[in-house]
Order: sequence, then structure tokens, then C-alpha cells
Amino acid sequence: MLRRIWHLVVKEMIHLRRDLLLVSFVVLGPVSELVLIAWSTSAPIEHLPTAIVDQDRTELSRGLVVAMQNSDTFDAMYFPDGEEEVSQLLDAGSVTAGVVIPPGFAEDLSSLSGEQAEVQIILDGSDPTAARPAERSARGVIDSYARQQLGTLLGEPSRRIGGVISADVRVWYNEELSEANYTVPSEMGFMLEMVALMIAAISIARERELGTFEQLMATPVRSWELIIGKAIPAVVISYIDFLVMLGITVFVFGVPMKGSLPLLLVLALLYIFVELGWGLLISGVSSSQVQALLLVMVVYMVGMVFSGYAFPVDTMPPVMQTVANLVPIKHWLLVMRDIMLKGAGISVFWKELAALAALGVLINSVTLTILRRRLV
Amino acid sequence: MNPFRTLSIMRKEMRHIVRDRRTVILVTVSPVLLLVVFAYSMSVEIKNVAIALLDYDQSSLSRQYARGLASTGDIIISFRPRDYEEMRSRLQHRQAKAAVVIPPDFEKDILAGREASVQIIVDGTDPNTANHALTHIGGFTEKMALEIVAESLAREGIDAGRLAPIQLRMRTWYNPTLKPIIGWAPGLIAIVLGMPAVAATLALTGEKEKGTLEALIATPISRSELIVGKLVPYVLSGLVSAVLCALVAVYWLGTPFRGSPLLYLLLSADFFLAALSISLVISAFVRSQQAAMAGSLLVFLFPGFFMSGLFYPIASMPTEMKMEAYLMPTTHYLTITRGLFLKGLGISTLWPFSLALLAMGVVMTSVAIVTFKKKLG
Repeated sequence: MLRRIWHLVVKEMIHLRRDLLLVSFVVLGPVSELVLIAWSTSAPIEHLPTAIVDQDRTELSRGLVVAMQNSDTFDAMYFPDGEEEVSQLLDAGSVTAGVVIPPGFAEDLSSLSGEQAEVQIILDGSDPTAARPAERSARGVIDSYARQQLGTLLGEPSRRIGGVISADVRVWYNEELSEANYTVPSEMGFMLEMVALMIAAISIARERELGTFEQLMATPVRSWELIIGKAIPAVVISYIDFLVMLGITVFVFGVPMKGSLPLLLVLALLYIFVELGWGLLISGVSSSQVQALLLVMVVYMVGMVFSGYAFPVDTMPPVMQTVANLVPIKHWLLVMRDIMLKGAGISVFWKELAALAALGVLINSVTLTILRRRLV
Repeated sequence: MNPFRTLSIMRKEMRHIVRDRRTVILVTVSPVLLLVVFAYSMSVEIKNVAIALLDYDQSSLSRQYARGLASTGDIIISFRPRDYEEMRSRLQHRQAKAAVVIPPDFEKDILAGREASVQIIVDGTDPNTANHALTHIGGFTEKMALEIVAESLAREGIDAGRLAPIQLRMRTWYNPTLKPIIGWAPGLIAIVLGMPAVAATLALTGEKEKGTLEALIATPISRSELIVGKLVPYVLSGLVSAVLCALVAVYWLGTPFRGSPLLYLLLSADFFLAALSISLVISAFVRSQQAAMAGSLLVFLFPGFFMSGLFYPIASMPTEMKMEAYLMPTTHYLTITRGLFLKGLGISTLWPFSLALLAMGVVMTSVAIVTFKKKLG
């Protein structure tokens, strides 16, 4: 039995050796892609091109312009004369935000009676990823500028403002709130998922398409032996990928590794096992490689949405949360972050671990049943 | 180039596409399905974030603070830990996303005019939720501080009704109701339509792998006829997906379509031309479908997802990565779909992006024609 599996593994390895381009794509592709993506998305969302219209042209309005420029979020690139031009710049996508300081701003601001001074912020609603941080940052800049002005206006009593309750903010597990610490491990998870799914999904579909499947069936190999034989090379390649990417994540992008490395290495194997089940299932139900690969893309992209990477799962409606729990990568990302960033042990993420294990058993037994039926 | 020969290649490809019904459905329907799944899950609002509140003061002012904190529904106080240790464990176990610690003497300090300090702790392993909680808690703390100051100023006879001297008018153009689904949908269309492009790569490599290319080579067909004949049917099938996606976005998700539908078709064809010709070049260089798939995933799916500007603004990327981002068809197409659906732009504003796609398409098709070996390797 072991010998039969071993022969299958050797056969798979020969296939891979003959298609070296594929091997290099599979091994180096995710690694280089991780570097590219992590490099481009690891900085906080800043330097948004901004148009500033200062219709007041006073010391106070210029002060606000400087305050906006000093925030890292806004890069004042254009200084048009009116709102009309701001709208053209937004249309063309040249700016993401516009700031309009209307005439009379300084006058309103320097008296406690009369009109309230006004500032208008215009955001590009078609680009939510940029609009949201821009809104938050604009509020912050203008609030603190307003408070500063209030200080000069009120004199002595105003010193109490902002000095009543101070907020002492601490970010745990990621003290500098570094985006990279969050994004890079997640992106590594996605790359690993892709490799595992892809190799597994193609393995059986390819044999079926090329007609070599009948030959395999004519041999005394049993169906589960075939599946294990197909799975082993995929595990090996995925695991090599994981090790290289983990190295890059820690040494190139400086993501801390606070927890136990051996634990992470063992659990990664469990995760790969679960994803392989998915991949083999796809392989079993599709009749050609094209179908298998398209299904991989669908499964993969759905997984991405429910992984909690860009959109928090906790606040989704119950139906979506249920779906999310069936997605292995959701659990894996939590486990990985818990180990790497929190330095936590199994007592913290045992639920996720149990979910992964359960998914692994479930998916792999469904795969076995379906493949058995389709194989004989 | 003989148009009849090109046409017969096109007919042959069309037959390939239509015959394999499961694949057709996968190619045309799955982008639509993904669009819907994405749109719904991305527009989920962050609400009811669970936090832990550790109140060492237990005074009427601290209770007032706690009540106010939870009053908007943005966060809920799910835990009132007994001590710091319990609070730490709630955060560690991800039961609470953030914690607020009210120090002893909170009320006493404030009433005596001294500064009281509230500690806010957020879980940095989940920046999306952490930022939300932080913004909300910080904002409320400031609001309450201002109210207290206003009260004390009023007692001293200073009119403090105007403690926020600048009124901020926030306007979000193109999506004034701020319905998140509307902001996301057009960008998502650009992403999911990368799927038909990948499918084409696979179909093109398939011929090599199955050995039917030999039969084609034996015919008098020329390289350019073969390439163009293969490109057009896939551009057309991509357009079917594009139309389906637009219909679903407008009639199901409620996204406005403010531009010209004809321009949408035209520029989508432009995008498919660029994307497919890149696929063609990939398939010219690789032997197996697996390698083609890996290659096109690396060119379309990941960069399209992470680097096209949908999840992360291009303006915030390092310069080298900006250049990389502009080399991808999805980046330009994303600007186009947003412009057409939400901004109602015409070709007068969209021409640079359309031109970039066209240039990519023409250059890559030529590369494909030149590199395609009409002989057996």
C-alpha cells in the first residue's frame, strides 16, 4: 500500500519536473506577488491628492490650509479658485478630496457672536477606500484647529478645553498600529491558499482531460491511495511556499513573531490539509482543467471576502457569518495573527483550531465519497 | 489578412465556447455571482462592536459616560470586567475589540477642575474594527469633555454655546447618500470581469496541450489571422458578462448608471482587448494550462484585487508600485467603470484611460502575433 502511494508520488513529481515553468510559477509566483502586494499596501492610507480653495485669503484661512497640508493624509496638489474647478478635478480623478474655505471664514472665526465659521470638505464617493480615511482625518485636523482658535478667543478659561478628559490610547499587540503587521500575514495566507487550491484542483482534472485517468484506474491503486498520492506533492510544494513566505514576512517586512514558531509550523500543515481537501473536491467535480481552475477562482474570491481581511466578519448578518465560518482561511488568518502578533497559545484560539479541524474532516470526507463514486 | 479565414477561426472558437456549456455558465455567470457576494459583504456596516468597560470610579459621572458611549449603537459594552486581568483576557480572546478604563477619582478630578485621564485600549491585530472603535470612543470622550467645559463656563458667565467655532460641511460627491454598496459596485465590476480574461488564457493554452494546434498549423492560416480570430470571440463573450454585471448592478444593487451605455460597451471591449492580449502573450510562452493559469492569476487576480485602487488608494502607494499599478488593465478599467456609473463622465474625461488600454491591447496583440510560433515546439 505504502509502495503504491510512493509510486504515485514519484509519478506526480515526474510530471512537475517536466513542466519546470509551472513549478517556478507555483513556487516563485506567490512569493514575488507577496512582496509586490505587501510593498504596495503596507503603508497607511496617506498622501491623498487634494484641491484646496481658499476664498478667504486671510491669516486664519492660510493657517488652516497649512494644518491640512501638515497632516500626512492630504497632499495639496491644486489650488483652484472655485468649486467648479474642484468638481472638474474630482471628475478626472486628479484629486480625491477638496477643501473649500468660503469668504468671511476669518471674520466668523474671530468673534464669538454672529455666524459660525464654515469649512466645506468634498470627497470622492466613488472611491470609498480613500474617502473614509480622508473624512476621519479632515474632522481631526479641523477640530484641533478650531480648538486652537477657541483658545486664543477665550483666553484663560479655555485652557480647560481638552484638558477635562484626556484619552490615553494604547494599541495592544501592534503597538505602532502598523498596517504591515496586519496586511502582510493576511496576504501570505491568501497566497498559500491559492497555491494549495490550484495544485490540488488541477491534479485529477488534468488526468481526466488527457484520458490518462482510465490507465490509472486499470492499476491496482485504490481510490484513497490515489488521493493521498495526489495530495502529497501538493502538500510539499505548498509547505515550501509557506516557509519562504514566512521568512519574507518576518525578515523583510519586520512582522513580529511573538508566539511559538513550532506551533505555527505544525498548524500551517493542518491548514494546507484543509485547503487541499477543497482543491481535490473541485478537481473531482469538474470535467476539465478550465472548469477546475475557474471554480478555484470562484472559491478563492468568495473566501477572500469572508476572510475578515478587508471587511470585519463579526458585524455581518448571521447568514453571512455562517458562510464565513465555512471558509477555512477565515480561521487560519485569526490563528496566524494570534500566534504572530499576540504571542498567544492554543488556549486563546482553540475555537478556530477546532473549526479548522472540523472543516478538514468534513471537506476531506465529502471529497473522498464524491471521488470514490466518480472514480469507479 | 484574409477576413474569411479569420471569420472561420472565430466560428471555430465560438463553437468551442458554446459547446462546453458548464464552462460557458462558469465564465459568464460567475462574475455576476461574485459581484453580488462581494457587494453585499463589503457594504456591511461596522456596528455593535463589542467592548469591555472597566469602571474603577463607579460614580454618577462615570456611569453617565458609559451610558453615552453605548447610546449610538456603534459599540456595545458587552463586558464589565472585575479587574485589569479579566479585561486583558477578554481582549486576548478576541471577545472584546477594545476596552475603556475609567480611573478612580474620575468624577472627583473633573469636579475639582483637574484633568481626568481615560484609557482606551484597542486590539491592533484587527485595524478595521479597532479604528472604528477608536474613532467612536475618542469622539464621544471629546464631546463629553466639551459639554462639561460648557457647563463650567456658563457658571462663570461666559457664553459657551459656540464651543465648536468651525462648522464642518462634509459632502460626498457621486454617492451623496453614502450607501456603501453604490460606492463599491462599479469598482467590483472591473475586478470580477478579470475572470473572463483568465478563462480565455486557459482556452487558448488548451489547444496546445490537447495537440489540436497541429491540425491548425497544417492549414494555410496566417499567424495574425489565427490570433485575431481567437481574440474576438472571447472579447464578445466578455462583453456578455459585462452587460450582465451592469444589469445586476443597476437593477439589483441599485447603483446608478450616469454615463453612456454605448461607451460602456466600447470601453469594456477595449479592456477585454488589453486583458486578453496579455493572456495571449502568457499562453504563447507557457506549455501547460496550469502554468497559464498561474501566470494569469499573477497578472490579473491578485494585482487586480490589491493594487488596482479598489482596496487601497494608488495615491498612497510607493512610486515604484504606482508604476506597476498603472501597467495593469484593471487599474484603468476601474477608473472607467467608476466614471461611467457614478460620475457620468464622457470620453472627454475618460480618454487617457481608454487610450492606455488601447495601447496595451495593440502592443500586446502585436507581441502575441510576433512571438506565436506556427510550428511545433
